[in-house]
Amino acid sequence: MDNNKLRNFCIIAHIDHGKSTLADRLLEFTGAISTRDMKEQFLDKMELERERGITIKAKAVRLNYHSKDRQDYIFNLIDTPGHVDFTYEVSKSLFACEGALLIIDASQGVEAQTIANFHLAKDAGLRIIPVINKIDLQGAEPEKVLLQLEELGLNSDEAILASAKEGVGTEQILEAIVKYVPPPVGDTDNPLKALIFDSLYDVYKGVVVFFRIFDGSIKAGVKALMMRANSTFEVTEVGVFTPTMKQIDSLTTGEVGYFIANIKNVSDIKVGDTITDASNPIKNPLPGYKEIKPMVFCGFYPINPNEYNLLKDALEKLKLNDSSLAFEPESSRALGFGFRCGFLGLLHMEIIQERLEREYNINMIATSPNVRYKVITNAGKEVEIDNPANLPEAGEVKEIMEPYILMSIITPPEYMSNIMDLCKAKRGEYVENQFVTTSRVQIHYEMPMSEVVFDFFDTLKSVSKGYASMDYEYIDFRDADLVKLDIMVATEVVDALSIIVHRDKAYYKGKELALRLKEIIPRQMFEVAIQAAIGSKIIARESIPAMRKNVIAKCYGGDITRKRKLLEKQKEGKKRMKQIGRVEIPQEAFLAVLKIQ
Amino acid sequence: MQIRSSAGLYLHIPFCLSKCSYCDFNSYPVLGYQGLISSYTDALLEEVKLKAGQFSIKTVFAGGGTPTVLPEEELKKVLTGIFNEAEINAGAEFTVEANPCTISVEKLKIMKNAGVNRLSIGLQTTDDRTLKLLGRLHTYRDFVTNYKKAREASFKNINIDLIFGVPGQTIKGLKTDLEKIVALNPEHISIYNLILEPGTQLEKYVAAGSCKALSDDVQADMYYIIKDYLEAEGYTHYEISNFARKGKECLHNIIYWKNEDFIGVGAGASGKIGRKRTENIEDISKYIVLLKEYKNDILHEQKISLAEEIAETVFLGLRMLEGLNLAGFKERFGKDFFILFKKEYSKLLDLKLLKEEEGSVKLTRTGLFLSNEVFVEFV
Repeated sequence: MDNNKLRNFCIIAHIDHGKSTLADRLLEFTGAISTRDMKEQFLDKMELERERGITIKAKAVRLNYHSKDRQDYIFNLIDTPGHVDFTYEVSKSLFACEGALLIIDASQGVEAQTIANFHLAKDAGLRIIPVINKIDLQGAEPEKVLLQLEELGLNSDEAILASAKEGVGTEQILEAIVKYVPPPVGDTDNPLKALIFDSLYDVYKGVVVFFRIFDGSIKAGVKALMMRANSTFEVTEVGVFTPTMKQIDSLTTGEVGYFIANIKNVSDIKVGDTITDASNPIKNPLPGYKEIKPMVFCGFYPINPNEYNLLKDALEKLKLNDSSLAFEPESSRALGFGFRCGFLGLLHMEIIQERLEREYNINMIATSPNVRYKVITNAGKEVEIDNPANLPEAGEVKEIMEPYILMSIITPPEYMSNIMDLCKAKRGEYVENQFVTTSRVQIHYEMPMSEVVFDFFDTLKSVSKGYASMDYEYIDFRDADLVKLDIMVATEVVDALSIIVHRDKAYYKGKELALRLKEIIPRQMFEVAIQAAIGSKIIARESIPAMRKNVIAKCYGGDITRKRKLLEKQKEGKKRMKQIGRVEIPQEAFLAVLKIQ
Repeated sequence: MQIRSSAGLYLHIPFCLSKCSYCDFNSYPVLGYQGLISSYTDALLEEVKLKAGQFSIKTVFAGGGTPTVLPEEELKKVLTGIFNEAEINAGAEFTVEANPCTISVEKLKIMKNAGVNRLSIGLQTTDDRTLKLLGRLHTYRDFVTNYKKAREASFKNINIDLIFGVPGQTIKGLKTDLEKIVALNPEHISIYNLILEPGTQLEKYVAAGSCKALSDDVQADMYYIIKDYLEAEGYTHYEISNFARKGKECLHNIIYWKNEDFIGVGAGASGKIGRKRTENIEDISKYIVLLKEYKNDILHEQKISLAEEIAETVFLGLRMLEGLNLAGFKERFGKDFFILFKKEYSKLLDLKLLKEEEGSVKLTRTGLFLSNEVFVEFV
């Protein structure tokens, strides 16, 4: 095929700036999908994604565009996830493109992920076309945004004013893609070199791999070698999404599409891996590959122990489509058998938790999330801990290290001091700040990741009246003065409530946590003591007095059915609680630590 | 002759002088229904005829609402009419609920002549300010006057209804209530912990903050003060909220707590025969029309499963301080209580909420005011 008529591009934006809606308009305009068939935001497949207004999985769609100068083009639109948890996926999707539409909300202006994505796209060598979206909104200030673009070093003359919601600017955008995005280069006669940027699981076809070819071609029968994973699969089908799956004979240099090769697990496919032809392989894989590692962990436990297998099946099913979800069985003295799960970030965790509860109808407890710690024992052994309960005894620990991130916050200057106070309170170490535009400062801090996974984002929003936005990347592990804080309920240590905290904050957290639990745990038939302890030292104590009243005073003929139903309802409520020792503890108690400022 | 099975009979009179602030019963101010009363009592008697025929009636209870709000001739019509429509055992307990300000010498005479042998008078509290908050139209003095009239009309079995745990009430106020009531020497005292039912006026006051609900702890303290006081005064505590002189326990209500059969007639009334529960339509006009036109079950009918019947029998039976008789349970269901509820019982025993005594399972003293914690284990 004629590569001059091929354009590969993606859309990048800060969350909620209207990326998915714009994708819809492009699909509609090019006739990939009729308005009538269109469910809002077609590319966001899952109900949950739609509800949250974010895209979780990147997808690629082939569009046919008949340009104003009467030429037929093929566009590959690669949709990218829009949250900091999924940065790596974004970077791989970018690498599959030559151009990027950078969407900026006309009233919000440039935000942290605008800049983060802009740099990612620039580093990937993409031609960037700025699109100022939502110009129909009251409060839209496109002139200001144009200025901000200039300050980023973008050509504001090329910026397109659009309203994806109203369909304004769609054709201009398509024309700009033709004009500015360069066609892919590469050589079809060279051996196959292709990049995996995503995958999904289909019940009938197994794993569907999304890839971009840089050299060579691929068709059914090719033995595809995944160079990083060092595994080979025979390709049984290649095709493109239009947006429905369409099988074609072959895909060649510069093209984007999918293949199927009898792959059972998405975990056999590594995003960022290089595909080559096993019978005629290239020497060096594409650069920039990273093994995706979960950063945030928590325990999932079924409330009803009989639902353990149900939870296991559900996690396995979710994992089919989400290679960044990790889980392994674990047991807790308090909660019984469950799973320790690893996620890219807190949002990723919340999404999985909601899907388990909503789609699989599993009543479960999620324990407080934590990061992974490195422990060096006195014996000189290095252990990684992803569950605070497993921290070796204080006497055995020589050193505990925790992961650090580089935090980047973009804010109007007036909130700078608030934000710097917040970062300091979260044990941040100041790096630098700089004006990215006249009205936007970028602040950099190095911070322990554990301080970020909890409520950092919400607090940031509140101290900046919603204006500040954030982005972060992992740097390294650093030594820290950390201790394990245990919680005892009725003198029993509830291992699932243990957290690892900085020594300076341990007293405060212990006290707050005990108070929180006192509010959350309902009165029982007996007095319940809640204690927070570091090792054997009790640092806080609260007590929940025994329940005194739970009675139906009146019960006569006409009341009986109603009262039975009332009792049944009370019973249902009890079922949602976890019995630990003799104490019934509600689900939210296990996330109480999240509520502490 | 065919052997009739026995049952209680409940008659619902859904009219009151006015709605009390805590009440969520099926009752309506009588003033708006004057024109309907006569058709209503017709329908009521019609329903008794339809439903009670094959039973021998061992107790009658006319409740409401306020039955004594009926005009004299209507009251007479109902109370005497049922004897024409149903087979009522000689000497059966026959209770009528009454409220102060609705009891006249003439009405007392009508009741006495009709065979009513038990009166249940709603007082709620002796404190006039609290009476006002509760939306009662009478004062304590009104009550005393009525009570004395009833005694003069030689009613020898009188219950007084009280409420405790009302916002603003104090321990001292409660003790005053108890002292004054005991001084009147009623045969029976029902004393209910206030339930703030959703949608009632009182619940709205509390939600709006114009008065404050008492803490659970204070209410629990009050409950045990009541128990100890009345027991010391010679009343038997025989159900969670009921006290009586020996032999004056309310037989009709015991039918409910033993989960035995009863017929309910009137708008919104419920009944239970075997494993069938019935519930009549609440709307008065619709009730009258349906009964006149269809002369049949106008009612919502619900089958209860064996499991539900067992659950109900257990939690109703445990309401009585004599408890759930184990031999009786086995005879009724063919199953051993301890085998059926081994886990539940041992948990509740461990929590000191249940105990076994004299062949029965009973709530402990602490268990009484925490009885829902016990009951949920059985539903």
